Amino acid sequence: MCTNERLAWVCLVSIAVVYIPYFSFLTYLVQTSNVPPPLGVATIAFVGAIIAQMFITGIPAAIVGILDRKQVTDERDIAIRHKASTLAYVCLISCVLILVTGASLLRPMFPLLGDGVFIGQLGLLCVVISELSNYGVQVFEYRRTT
Amino acid sequence: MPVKNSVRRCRFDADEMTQQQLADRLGVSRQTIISIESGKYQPSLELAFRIAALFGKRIEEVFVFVDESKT
Repeated sequence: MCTNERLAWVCLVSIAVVYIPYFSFLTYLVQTSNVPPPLGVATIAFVGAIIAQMFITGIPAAIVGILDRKQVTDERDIAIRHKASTLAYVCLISCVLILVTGASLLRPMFPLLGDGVFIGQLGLLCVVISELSNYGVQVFEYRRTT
Repeated sequence: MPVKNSVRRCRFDADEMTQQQLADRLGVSRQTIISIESGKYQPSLELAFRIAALFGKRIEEVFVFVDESKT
């Protein structure tokens, strides 16, 4: 397994490890109180998620980088990253369009969709899904072509 | 894959050059050489020319297009 594949695995796992509990926590808050999560709670949870992701991604990435100093990034890596980022971009645009359309259509039935914090969290979910698809495609392509 | 290659044969003919040695001389990773040899990754035209030149052959001697629609 090459360095870039290891780094893609690290990023994929770290995003899953951090943001699945993050969104589960926010969903739990919404379900129990039936109101959007307060801005303060959402902000603290978000900052906590960012700090956790920095550690979960940064430490293994540094170790991988130190262990594989000789590793080069070649045209195959660039081709895989290009393919992954293209698909991630399509994924992000699709998610945002679904979010905007869904929010405007369903708002009369679900007043939560008019809340700024809730919309912000849905936007963050779109980014997380696109990043998951980005690193997921990278891992898949590295596995497929090796 | 419609493009077959004989990189493994060329390495064998070049004093049994290892994949790592070939990768180092081309400036790519060993995984890329493995992928090219197994036909799972098609190199760019530039890399294909460099591989052929490294073995002192023409590109069509190393990379062969197989038209599967005619077979």
